[in-house]
Amino acid sequence: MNILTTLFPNTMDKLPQFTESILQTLQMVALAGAVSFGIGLVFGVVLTVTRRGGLLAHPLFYSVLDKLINIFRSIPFVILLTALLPLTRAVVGTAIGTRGAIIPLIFGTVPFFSRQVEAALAELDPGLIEAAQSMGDGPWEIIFKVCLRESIPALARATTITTISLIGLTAMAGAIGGGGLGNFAIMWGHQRQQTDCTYAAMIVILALVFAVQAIGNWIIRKTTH
Amino acid sequence: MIRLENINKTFHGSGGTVEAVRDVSLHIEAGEIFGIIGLSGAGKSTLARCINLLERPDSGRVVVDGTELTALPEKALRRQRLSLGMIFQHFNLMPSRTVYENIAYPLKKQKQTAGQIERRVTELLELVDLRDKRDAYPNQLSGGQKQRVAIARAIAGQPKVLLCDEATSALDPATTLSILDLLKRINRSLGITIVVITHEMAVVKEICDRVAVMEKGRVVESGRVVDLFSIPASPVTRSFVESTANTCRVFDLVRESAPIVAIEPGQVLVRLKYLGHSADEALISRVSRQYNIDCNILFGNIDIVSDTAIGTLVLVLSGEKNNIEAAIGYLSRNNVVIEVIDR
Repeated sequence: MNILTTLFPNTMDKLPQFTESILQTLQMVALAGAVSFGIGLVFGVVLTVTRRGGLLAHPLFYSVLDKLINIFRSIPFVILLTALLPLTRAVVGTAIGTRGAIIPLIFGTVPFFSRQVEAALAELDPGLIEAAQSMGDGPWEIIFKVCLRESIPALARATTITTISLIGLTAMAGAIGGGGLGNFAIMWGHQRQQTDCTYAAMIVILALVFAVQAIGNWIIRKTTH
Repeated sequence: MIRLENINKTFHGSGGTVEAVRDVSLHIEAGEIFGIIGLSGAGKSTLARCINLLERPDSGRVVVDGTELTALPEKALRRQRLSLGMIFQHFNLMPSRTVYENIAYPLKKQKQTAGQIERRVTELLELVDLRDKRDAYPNQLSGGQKQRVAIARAIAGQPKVLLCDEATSALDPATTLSILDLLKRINRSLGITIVVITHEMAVVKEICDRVAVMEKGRVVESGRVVDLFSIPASPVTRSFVESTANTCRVFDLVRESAPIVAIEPGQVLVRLKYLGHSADEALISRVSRQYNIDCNILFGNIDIVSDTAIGTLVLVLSGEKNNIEAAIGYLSRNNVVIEVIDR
């Protein structure tokens, strides 16, 4: 404890706030991550199957979704945060705090994860789909039993990358009052020049990223045969 | 068992249109092993995919076991596909599933109980001789073992037909033979009609009863393998047949004026081809005695095709000119195909 107080005097001063920031970051990652994972997975699959030559080819539908994802991916996250203020207020009732950050985080993450899922599914050997068709599988069976099931390692990799990028976004969300470690670093480390607060926030975020990467690698290793 | 009527299939790609299959009609009998041979791009794989409608033909009818597949709606077609097993050049096993799970895959669709599936898979593992690989993953297997698993998976649902798309093209010669052996065993013991797509005449020679030769989307020749081997009608067939025999080397040697085929004035260099039954007679020694000529055998080859021997001999005949002509006439009257290469 003594070393910590020497190295991070200001952080240790407001330990309850610091731990709350950590919890807020975890909360944002978990909530926005879970929702984005679900939506992104659906979008990624839809992109894969509706493209020309796909299982349920629908060029118009593909083209609309494709463009939409490109548009949201092109908007810098800081701008997206403010641009979505009215929507956030309408949906969750507030635009500040952890709750207010969730909607922009989802909008920032879904397009990225959708592309990651699309890329992961594109790695699948088309021969497997052909084999499944030859065994009488229909498109839905192929999507669930072949495309998704056989892409688990690739999807785990996509999820790891997306979660790490999401952790980065939550720090940015802190800038407009989203709370979390980003907010902590800006409020104390930057604005009040208590630099040790910045480093403390950074170390925790690094630890988070390493943990996510380690878990991701473990899942990939366990599911690759 | 399988009737293809006027099948046409054209692909429209960015590189232009490709007429992959043009007006192909074939009839494959129940219980036979039927080969479709052709060079790459001849349309044979597309034709095979037209049989189970993985590729829907632009026009024409596909009738399998009395059911017109081309007339079925998508759902009914999927049910029918269960009676058409298929294996592929690159095996197409699911890498995240064990050997057991791969073979059980089609059975799970048939609403069988876990016990029934277990029994069936064990039986199939025994049939393909892979009992000890039950819980291995495909990437831990050799090519030959993977193809055995694929065969087990393809016949798990007790199909009437097994389509083999270049099934041995990624395997070494010894493994190819063992896979062909397994296919032959499945054909004989289970009565499954097998369609073999290949570019290797050796494969056709080894297991097929009848064969269709494809070139540029058309079937240029079809019939019993023995007949095609002994008297190939089209140039493609001839080149396929010669790819498995070494006696065609004689033409190269003559062109290069190699000493082994050098003949003296008055001598004649001939190639004889004969089927099993004429091989029983002592033709060579008979013509030699009867026409007072010498027959010097330069080299020979015997192919066994569908249990029939097809012999090829390259001979130098020497003697009186008239006697040689008479001997050649005698041989061709006795079911020997005789070709004068050089005189």
